[in-house]
Amino acid sequence: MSQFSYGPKIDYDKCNGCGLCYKYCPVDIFGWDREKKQPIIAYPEECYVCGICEYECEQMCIDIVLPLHYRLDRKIKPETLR
Amino acid sequence: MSLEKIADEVLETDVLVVGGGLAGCFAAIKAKEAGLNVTMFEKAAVDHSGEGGTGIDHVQVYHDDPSILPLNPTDAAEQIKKLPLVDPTIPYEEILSEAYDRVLDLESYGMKVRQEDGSFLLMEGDQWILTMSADQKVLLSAKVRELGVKVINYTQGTSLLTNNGEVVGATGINIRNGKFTVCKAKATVLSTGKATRLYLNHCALHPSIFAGWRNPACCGEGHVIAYKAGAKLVNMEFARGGGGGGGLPLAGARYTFTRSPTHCIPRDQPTVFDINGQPVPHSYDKLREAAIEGKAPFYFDMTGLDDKYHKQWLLAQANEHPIVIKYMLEQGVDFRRDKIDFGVGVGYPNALDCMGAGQSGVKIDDMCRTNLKGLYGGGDMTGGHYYGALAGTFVFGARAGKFASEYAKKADISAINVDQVAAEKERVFSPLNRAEGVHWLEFEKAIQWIVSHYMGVVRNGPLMKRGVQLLDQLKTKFADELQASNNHELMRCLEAQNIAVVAEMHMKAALERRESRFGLSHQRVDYPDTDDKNWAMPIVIKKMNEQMNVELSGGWEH
Repeated sequence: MSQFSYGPKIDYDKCNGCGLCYKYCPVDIFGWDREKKQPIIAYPEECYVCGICEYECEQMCIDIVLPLHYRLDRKIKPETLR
Repeated sequence: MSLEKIADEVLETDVLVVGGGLAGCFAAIKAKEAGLNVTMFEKAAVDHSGEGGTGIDHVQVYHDDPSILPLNPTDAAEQIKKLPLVDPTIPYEEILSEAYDRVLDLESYGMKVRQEDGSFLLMEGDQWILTMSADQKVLLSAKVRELGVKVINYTQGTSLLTNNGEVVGATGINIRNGKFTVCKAKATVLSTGKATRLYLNHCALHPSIFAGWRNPACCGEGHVIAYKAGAKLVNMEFARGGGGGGGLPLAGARYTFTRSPTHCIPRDQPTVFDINGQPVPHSYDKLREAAIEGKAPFYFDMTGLDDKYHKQWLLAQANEHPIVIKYMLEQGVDFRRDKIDFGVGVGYPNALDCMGAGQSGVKIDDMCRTNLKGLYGGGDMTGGHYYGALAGTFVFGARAGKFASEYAKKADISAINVDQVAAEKERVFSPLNRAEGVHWLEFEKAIQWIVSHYMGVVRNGPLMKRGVQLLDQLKTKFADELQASNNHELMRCLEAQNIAVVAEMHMKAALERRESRFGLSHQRVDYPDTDDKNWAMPIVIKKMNEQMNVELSGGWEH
């Protein structure tokens, strides 16, 4: 199933399963894979890009991908607006 | 049937705090310091929950001694008392002074607020304000735990339990394992934050299915829980001007692109410009006017500002919404050099709020009491008083904890109505028990569609009346059809049902207030003028005979 592109991405090669992201997410978007003892992104679309998981991650293995319109170049030259 | 057979867990406490954000943490700390047994329901984990979970950049504090802080509580209190829709019985001078004490509390918990010479780190802007840091919630929650508050994380408060009109505890459900908890309490503090998620995305740069940068966990659940138990709410018709068509979630200036980052950059320094390169006044109304006149896209230009304002501004971002720093790094944006467009800049409101006047929410008195015995309110959820935002959550949270404790010391644990608990449990779990039904998000978006299109941009009587009818239809047809396939979705269903009730309060109060007030917070095209003679009092909402009673109050008494 295709998913929203924004929100946290976990580098599982680095993840040590500490669970802080799963613990701290204010909107409960993470789930927990009991077999692999790792977090999963259960509800990426509910991420509001607060950043807490990325900042708290001990292994620095979470990268919050910013939404599409944060990925556009918004810099402008005012004289070209008209 | 006994209580123990209905609930998975039955607890007993002196003071129960529902909602563990900044206000809830301060309430719990003060109740614990008063020597009481304290329990907290928190929907997420207390370490980073609530609107302050990512940190908050500044706080407005006051001191009698100008060598300590530049703003004086006596003068500020006098100004506040003159504001419309602000309860004049609240002791503002005392409250403003207490904000300083709460900052000292935070400092004792480990927060850095001073420079190396011992003076406070102040930002110079519209007013002098004290710089905060991103770790305040972490430090507060650590203190909560250190003091021995029983913190029950991942537990969503669902209802207040009452005995002869007195609040005697609450029910909660664990959003991960579905455990249904009853907590008996001598006193209960509600501190569940602002009501958000009422309008379609107010912030076009924010893509979440939720409305924008505000913590979507704060969606007015406490408002509804209190309302259902019989509490009064005030100022529910007002909405905070939106983040605009292009607002980045920039700290303090999270409405930067529609107004200006006023708290760290003085208002006389223009930061927002129109297509002709002319500065747009720092007013949401003016921005809308300019947009209608064809002067959009607007753009944000800080390139001419003194470097000290850039430093303050960047510090504000880092302390409140660090994700903005990531955005700037990834996109190579440097506000000392770059100008950024933000389209039309006029969007839907992001939360209920009076701009610069009495807050929207559950009415509290000078001792943070609601009109229900045993129920106290703190933080963004409370209404009628001025002084919201960070300092308001500190002070009113702490005061709620203090006064609830005084009450609890004289109160006993009361009997719980088992039938009430059984009915609540059935209500709460019903979305899980349906094999099919409506997804919570469809329901939530339908509410937002109605609120946005029937009062979001233009408010007028016939339009809002139609909106109320549609909302009523939506609730009647679908509120009891929501379906959840797990506990996480169940949490969302319960939230969406509560959002529908807040939406009803919001629309009905706006319909009742037949005047305009506070700019776009409540601008009616059919009653365009502010009418202090007839409408300077709050609209009070209260449940009466199972109906929502909405009427203009003659005064501020409970």
